[in-house]
Amino acid sequence: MLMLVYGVAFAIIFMFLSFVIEWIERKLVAKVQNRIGPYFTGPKGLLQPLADFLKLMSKEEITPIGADYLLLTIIPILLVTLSAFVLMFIPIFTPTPLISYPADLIYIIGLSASIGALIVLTGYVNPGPYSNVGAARFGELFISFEIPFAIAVAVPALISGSASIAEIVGFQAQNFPIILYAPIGFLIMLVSLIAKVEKIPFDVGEAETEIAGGWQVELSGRRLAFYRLAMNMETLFATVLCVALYLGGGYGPFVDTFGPVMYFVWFFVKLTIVIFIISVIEGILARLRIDQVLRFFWKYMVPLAFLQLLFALVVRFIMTL
Amino acid sequence: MVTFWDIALTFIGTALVFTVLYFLGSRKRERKKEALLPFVSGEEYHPMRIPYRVKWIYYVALFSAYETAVIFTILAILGGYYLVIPIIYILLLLISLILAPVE
Repeated sequence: MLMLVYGVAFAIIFMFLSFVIEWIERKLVAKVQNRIGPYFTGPKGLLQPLADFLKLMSKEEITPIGADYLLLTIIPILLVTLSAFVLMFIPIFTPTPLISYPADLIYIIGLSASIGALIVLTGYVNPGPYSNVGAARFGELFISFEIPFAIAVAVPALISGSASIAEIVGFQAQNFPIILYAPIGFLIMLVSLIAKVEKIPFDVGEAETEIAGGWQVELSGRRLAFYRLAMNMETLFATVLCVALYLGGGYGPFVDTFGPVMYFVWFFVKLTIVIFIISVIEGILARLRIDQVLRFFWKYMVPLAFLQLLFALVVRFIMTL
Repeated sequence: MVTFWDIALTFIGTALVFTVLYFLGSRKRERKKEALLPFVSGEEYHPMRIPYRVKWIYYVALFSAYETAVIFTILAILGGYYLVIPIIYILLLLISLILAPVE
């Protein structure tokens, strides 16, 4: 029963952490674009994402004619639940995550892929053409970025010789961060995670100026609030996974002296760096066309990812000599 | 050691939080004129599902192959068969990518 309590507590913590991450990202993008960003709600606008969430939760929910009401109720809850659940496999607060077992990395790749599949399903349960086109576009994007993403996730597993995230982080504590062994893998993961969370320049599934918001266009009220929360949590998941697999998790100077507090501080610093990179890319680039995105991933990222995988095998072979 | 029930209970706890939170949100049962229209935007088009052709359908097959290959690669490495089996997989997949039809 203790795990049930942990599940409840961590879900709430991750929800608020995702709001903080959204605030950091919005502030950074605003800074890049010479704007102020969130300012009035809370200190320096820190509570703006929470205020946005509460506002949407209190708005009227409209279900379009022809839409599947049951699925539109279940999917947002499942989406947010899965997004929070996968975070419990990653050692964010301490070197040992809440849930850890051998091969949990494969399990969370599967879970994160199901989040993408649920987004595609959302577009299809609504009858609007914009929604359908958005879902089709996201589906095409999804099968394009998922391969490099999966390979970029597999590379640390190959180098460390373990498919457990906690063990991969432990490996980096005893050796060097995996970014030093596989820098291309880190870049691939970074690019893939931008596509995974549908940030500019890969937000072809939403594309407000072309398809009016794509798969999100028919969502309103608490459904929209939950979808936005799920996207925030997915951003958090993708970035913390990047930190755990490539940047050594929360390990850094003084961790042995100060323990878990310093571990979390280092983790948060590294997380902020990753979010900073994503925000700069988001702030300075324009949206790519769907064909450009697909060409980019299939012609360049997938072969590059496989080359990185081969290189990782060589690194692993040398390390076992 | 984490058991299946630990994982299941954690998932249930997480789902519980968000289910309660979702149903705390406003639904407002009164039916406005906009709520009876097919789209949230209020446009008066008939609900429809547009016909479209998925041009990239063969990539779905490749996608499944790649995803499986990644898992096989990890398992092969963990099983101690590193180098031989993964390299065969990777070469096969690279060949399939080169031979894939171009639009």
